[in-house]
Amino acid sequence: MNIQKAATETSIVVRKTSLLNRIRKNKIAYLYITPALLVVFLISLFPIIYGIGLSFYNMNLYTMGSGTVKFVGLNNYIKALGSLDAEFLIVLLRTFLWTVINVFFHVTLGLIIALVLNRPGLRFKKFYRTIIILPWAVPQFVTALVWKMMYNNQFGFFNLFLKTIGLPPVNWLGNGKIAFISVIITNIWLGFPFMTMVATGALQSISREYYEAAEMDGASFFQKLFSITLPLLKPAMLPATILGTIWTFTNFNVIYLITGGGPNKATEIVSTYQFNVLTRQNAYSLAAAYSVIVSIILIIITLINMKVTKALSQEGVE
Amino acid sequence: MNLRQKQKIGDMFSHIFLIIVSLLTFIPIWWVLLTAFDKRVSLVSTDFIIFPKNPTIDNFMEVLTHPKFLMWLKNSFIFASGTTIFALTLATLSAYAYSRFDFPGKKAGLAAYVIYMMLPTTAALIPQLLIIKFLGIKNSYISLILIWSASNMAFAVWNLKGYFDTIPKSLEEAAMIDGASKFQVFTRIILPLAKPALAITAIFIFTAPWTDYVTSYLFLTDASKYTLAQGLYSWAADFKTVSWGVFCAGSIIMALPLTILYVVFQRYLISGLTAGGTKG
Repeated sequence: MNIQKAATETSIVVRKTSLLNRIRKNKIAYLYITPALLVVFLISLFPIIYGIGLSFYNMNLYTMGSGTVKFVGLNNYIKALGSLDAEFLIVLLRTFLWTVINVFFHVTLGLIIALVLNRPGLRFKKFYRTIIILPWAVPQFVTALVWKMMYNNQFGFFNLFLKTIGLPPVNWLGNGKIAFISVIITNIWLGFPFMTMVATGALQSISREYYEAAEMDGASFFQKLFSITLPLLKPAMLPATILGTIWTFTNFNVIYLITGGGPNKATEIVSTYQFNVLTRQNAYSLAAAYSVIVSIILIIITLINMKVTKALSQEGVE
Repeated sequence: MNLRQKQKIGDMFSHIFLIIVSLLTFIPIWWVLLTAFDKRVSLVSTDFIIFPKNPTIDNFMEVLTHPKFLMWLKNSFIFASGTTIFALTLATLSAYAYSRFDFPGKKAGLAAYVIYMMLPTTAALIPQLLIIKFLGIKNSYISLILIWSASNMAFAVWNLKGYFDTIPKSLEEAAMIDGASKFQVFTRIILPLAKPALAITAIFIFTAPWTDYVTSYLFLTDASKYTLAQGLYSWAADFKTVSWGVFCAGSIIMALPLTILYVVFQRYLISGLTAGGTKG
């Protein structure tokens, strides 16, 4: 009994010294990682934690000025999600709609284009591909500003074009519903090339032998598509789709730069709404609460992503 | 219908489809080029043209001699290259340590970066403003370089660590036997081998300050520090200040360097993005 105890004690001591030893031996490693950690902690992590704390207060320009900042518990969250007609809830639902429509078109268009581009023996592939990836390559900020010009009522590309072919002009950004469609069109244009590129990369890694074998068995085009191509694209396309979902959900540039969330808040999504609450209403705590809610949604999407990726990699092992 | 005919008809439809897609993709870009390279008498043009009527580079001359535009260009360049150098140096050092050393706390450190990527960064804006004021560096180049570096660090560290992991350890061991120190191994063997990954990560980091509007809008109140993004935004908000031609020329100057880099490095950038995404 005593011997055993002594043995465990020594093993603890040994482990302790070995831990210390390992720390001492890796002094250089700590030296290497510290600067980055310091910057992240001071400039980002600490402010985030502070910001999450702020979301439980009533801090805005007015309460700060009058010295009445106080703890309000979950009030900001109740204000955001508590009643069905709460502005934030409507904006949140619109963000889901915006995300679903965009990602659907990104993936479908991206896949179809990649499949056509992958047709064996087709000429000018490289040329098409270079043109098609341009919307991805041009900085999104510049694209959004340019589309704002193109939607201009009097002098924009679209209305000049409609006039030339004898059609009446469209008020692209003046009407809430049309403005929402306009920003979606812009974002579809921006987003499908990424999916095309991911799908093209994955298609090129599918061996021709699968198709040759299927052709020998007399498989039709659609049989090949649904039993070879699409299942083999899944490991690349699913993570890309989830990534695209996160990007679309948090996209700021397209809507903010083209409509600013207007007219009458009709195109506001969470990222722009939160920014407007912060900069126009100076409601700091409320904006922080919105930010936390969005983060929780994104964490859920990311967790689903991790599960899916794990499931896929296990599928690959089998 | 024999097989060759079938192939030909299929090719034809594929070409028609791809030409339509290419046109839809290219129209906005062509329109910007057209507006920038065409001479207009008024601020805007009311007729619809497909090719420039009076080709000119006047708009580019005007924007490149515009004192404000040059100042924005300079500021954006300082912010973006400063952030890239600073963040890349820090991220490379960390990524190397995470890839090559087996130290207590390594897993926790890496996991912390993943968790950090999921946190509500926009909630941090007001506290960040307070910190910047507290440090007395408001409106300085260093303030925004720090903020952009911090927000890009997690991605950069993971991306570089992933690449370092693929470099075989035997290379370093051989050099160590020859008497090289760990630091020499790092600078003479690892870094040259990691050039592609460093370039890709640098492009990603550079993009953020170059095109970010929110951060500079919130943190910069001194007009002499305004960035290209802020400048072009102000031109686009009120199209009466400059002609559309000049605005488009400015947009092209802002977009062109990154566009070329993205087209040239497309494959690596895409794999970097998806790899970073599945990890994050």
